[in-house]
Amino acid sequence: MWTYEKKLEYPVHIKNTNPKLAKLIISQYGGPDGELGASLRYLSQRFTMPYPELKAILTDIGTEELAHLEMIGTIVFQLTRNLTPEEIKKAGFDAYYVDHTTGIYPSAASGVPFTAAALQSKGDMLTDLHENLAAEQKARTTYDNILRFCDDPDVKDPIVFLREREIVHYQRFGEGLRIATDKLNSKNFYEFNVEFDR
Amino acid sequence: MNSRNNLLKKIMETDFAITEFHMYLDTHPSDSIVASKLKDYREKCKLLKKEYESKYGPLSSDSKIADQWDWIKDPWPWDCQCASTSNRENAMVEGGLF
Repeated sequence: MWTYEKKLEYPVHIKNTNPKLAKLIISQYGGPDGELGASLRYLSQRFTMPYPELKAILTDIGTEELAHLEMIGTIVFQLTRNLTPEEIKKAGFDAYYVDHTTGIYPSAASGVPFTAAALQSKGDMLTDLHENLAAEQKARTTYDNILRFCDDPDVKDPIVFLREREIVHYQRFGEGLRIATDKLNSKNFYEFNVEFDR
Repeated sequence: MNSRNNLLKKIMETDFAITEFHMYLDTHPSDSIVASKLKDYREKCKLLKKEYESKYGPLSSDSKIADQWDWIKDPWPWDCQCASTSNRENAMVEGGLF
């Protein structure tokens, strides 16, 4: 169960539109290492996760990813307000425009629609925690790449915030992995799958 | 709009600290110092939200709604509240929508 609050996790106030940049940032909405995939990955892995600390961390991080999805949607929306056909064409936003106008659609920067193929819920605690550590780093790299194309401080500021959150989540998943392995046979972590061989 | 935004920013800051404490406690459940900080920030946030909602309307779906269905009122979180550049938006600002 979730409740909605009529506010963002971190402020987004973008004065100048920039459809060219929006085309790149949309990747964190529906791309392979984006916030939608992150949220689905963690919220789905929860069900078979064995330990209370891990159930909690997946719930809390998975929920925060939804707040990040909303921030990214807001950034893309504000970057593409009131565009003229000339601006759309000049920015190379025309391909996106043809399919979605300026609606916010979950796709990668390459135009590939959102796919669950880029995430995993493996039903094995160790595998899933490593998946999540990698996912946080992949998202961090994507934000680093986006920042190379950002010169507008109005955009840079919330993107830097989101990048930092990837690092914090990575830290929490690392602690989760330590808590998990502390409960296993230290001579053979793979002796059995705690999510299946109970 | 400025005092409204400032108050909202304070709420966002406080809520963010709550998010951080909450997540930290998931992997450090016996840290009583952080647990008591979480409690303090929750109290602080409750007061800030009460003040905001009494002035500007509901923040969450379970907030007390006054005599009108204030929940539907603009602005929504994604609405741009910065100096706008287009005529369409200027007209909306003048019309009190932002």
